Amino acid sequence: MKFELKVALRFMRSGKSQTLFIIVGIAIGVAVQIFLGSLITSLQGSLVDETIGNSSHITIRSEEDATTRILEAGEPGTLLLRGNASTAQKELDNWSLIVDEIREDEAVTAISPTLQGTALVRSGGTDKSVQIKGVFFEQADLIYEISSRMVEGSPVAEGNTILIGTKLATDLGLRPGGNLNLLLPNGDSVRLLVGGTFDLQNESANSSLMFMDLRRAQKLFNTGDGVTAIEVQVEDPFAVDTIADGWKQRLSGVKVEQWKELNQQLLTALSSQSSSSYTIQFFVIISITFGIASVLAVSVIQKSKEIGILKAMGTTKKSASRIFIFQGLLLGLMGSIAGIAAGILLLSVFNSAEGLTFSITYSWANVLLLAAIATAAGTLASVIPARRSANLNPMEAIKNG
Amino acid sequence: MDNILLQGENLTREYGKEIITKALNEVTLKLNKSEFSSIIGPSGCGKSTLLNLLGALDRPTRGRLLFQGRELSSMSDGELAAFRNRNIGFIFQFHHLLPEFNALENVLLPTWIGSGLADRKREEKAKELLELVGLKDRMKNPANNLSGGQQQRVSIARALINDPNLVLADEPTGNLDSDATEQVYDLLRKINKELGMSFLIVTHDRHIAEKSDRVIEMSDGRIVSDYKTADKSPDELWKRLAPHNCKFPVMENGRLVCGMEESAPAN
Ligand SMILES: Nc1ncnc2c1ncn2[C@@H]1O[C@H](COP(=O)(O)OP(=O)(O)OP(=O)(O)O)[C@@H](O)[C@H]1O
Ligand SMILES: [Mg+2]
Repeated sequence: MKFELKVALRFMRSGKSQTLFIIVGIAIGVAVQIFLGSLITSLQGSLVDETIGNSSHITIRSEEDATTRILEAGEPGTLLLRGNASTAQKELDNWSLIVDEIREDEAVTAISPTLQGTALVRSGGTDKSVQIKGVFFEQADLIYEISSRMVEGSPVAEGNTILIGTKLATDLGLRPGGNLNLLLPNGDSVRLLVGGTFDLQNESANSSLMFMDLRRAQKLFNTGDGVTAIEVQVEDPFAVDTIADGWKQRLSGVKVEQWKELNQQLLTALSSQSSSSYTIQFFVIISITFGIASVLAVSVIQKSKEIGILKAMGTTKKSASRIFIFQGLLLGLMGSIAGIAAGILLLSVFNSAEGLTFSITYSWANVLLLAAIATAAGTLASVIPARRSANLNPMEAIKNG
Repeated sequence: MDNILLQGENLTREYGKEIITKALNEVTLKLNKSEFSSIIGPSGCGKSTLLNLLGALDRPTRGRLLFQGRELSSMSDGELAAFRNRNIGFIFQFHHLLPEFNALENVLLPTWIGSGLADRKREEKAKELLELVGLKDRMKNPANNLSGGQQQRVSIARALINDPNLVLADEPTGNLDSDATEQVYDLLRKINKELGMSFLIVTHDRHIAEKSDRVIEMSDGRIVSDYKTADKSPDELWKRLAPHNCKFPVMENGRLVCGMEESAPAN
């Protein structure tokens, strides 16, 4: 151990209550930072997850405008389905090439080529608008997690078997095993079997969405091999801008949209929330710094005789200042450690409370970063007292009793 | 000459910027090895100022200081600190010890400053020195659990730990009672004889001055006389020292003044 460190520790121990108070002060500051930071991050995480957790992060569409295909379906006396293959865009014919290309990207976690169309289902006297998503079920499932959110039936969408939203099923009076007849433009009739119903925890999806096998949808909408969109999820949803920009460069003739462009308002709300959280954290750090600085400034005066004796015995200016740098560092460090313990305790108390819709998680990287910042603040706070200690005149200090 | 330890030439120390106080005025002196010297003189005559200059705690406004032929004025602050650590032992009138440390640790402090925290060998030496000053059984005592005289003896051990060439003491018994004073001086003298290091002591006590090898009298920032006690008869010496004698100095407005004069001893 260095001699300056030993002296620093003894000085801190001799002013026990002073030391204890400032450590408790720092600990409270750090605990508040950890709690607040984790709360905001977790809140935002759950909000973002709700918004985009089960939807496409990046969607690739054709750049050209689409022609509209009329779809009429139904049989007199049964449910009538008619409509148009949605789309403001033309289908992507070369989609499998694009899929091959973006699959190379390591950030990508799911790719689902989709043919999306709207249709009307006539039930009784009213028309009901439905969204048809033609997909490869396994791939779409990675994004929409349908199989884990089934209400009735089994998660299969192949051949003529389709899955529909639970609200839509109720509205149409359908249950798994029930039928829906479609009349295709060429006059053929297709009978669709409801394989199951799902609850995607989203009102509009539950009341209008229908998953269908991609091949069946292509036949239905008569689009050949085309799809209207390629839906993609990526590892870090907040990195979509750079990923999408890269794809825009590489892929020609397509439009690359990402969720951020479509959710500007949410992002603005999140970022102002974050910045107010940062502001609070910044001022907590400022008050920690001033707290440590004032305790050490008092300490230099209290210990000026000791410093004078040490200097007379050959302590250099550098050493005399290091004694106080160490104290600042130690106060910051000890306060941080106590603050981490208090903050994590606070979080677990909060998480074990009943009636919570989400739990607060914390990242060790973040906690350690906060501790490092508080420790650095302590060290920084000691600079002025340390300089005073360095410049203290030993003759003045030892002159009188 | 080989016997010279420290040599000051025309040392002047001025304080203040607009109103200049000459605390020390063109002082020239040589200190010899193994010499036990006293500085006497009225309050404010510059004794402490001179001691601080000789101990490299302070720099002269003008003049040169040579330690065993080495020029001190050209050294940096850091070099001077290292110089003090290796060559000078200080004994102060007040604030002898660091209250945060025990007696043994206080003695070890100069070695920590000079070469890092103690190893066994230096700890043994510190214990020997504590034994020398008669405090072996008190070495684990916190510094402020010791009496004033005990504290001063610990600080003597501390001044000796790095084997300095010169021990400087500024009224080291100024706030001790007469028994403790006697003990401390007997101890200093004994160490001087046994270990052979030079001592320079500021004192108001003519008993002490009388027992020194050499007496340096100061007045108004100058050395007014400088003699070996062996060259004077005891009577003459006693008379010379009378004006400076003060067995019971008291603090008045932050400086020491004499509280009571002492009558000459009955032969
Ligand atoms: N820091 C200072 N600033 C201004 N003047 C000073 C300072 N230190 C000492 N002096 C002046 O220098 C002169 C010598 O002071 P010094 O302390 O050396 O006297 P002294 O002989 O040690 O006195 P005493 O016996 O009272 O300790 C005094 O006139 C004192 O007022
Ligand atoms: Mg003095």
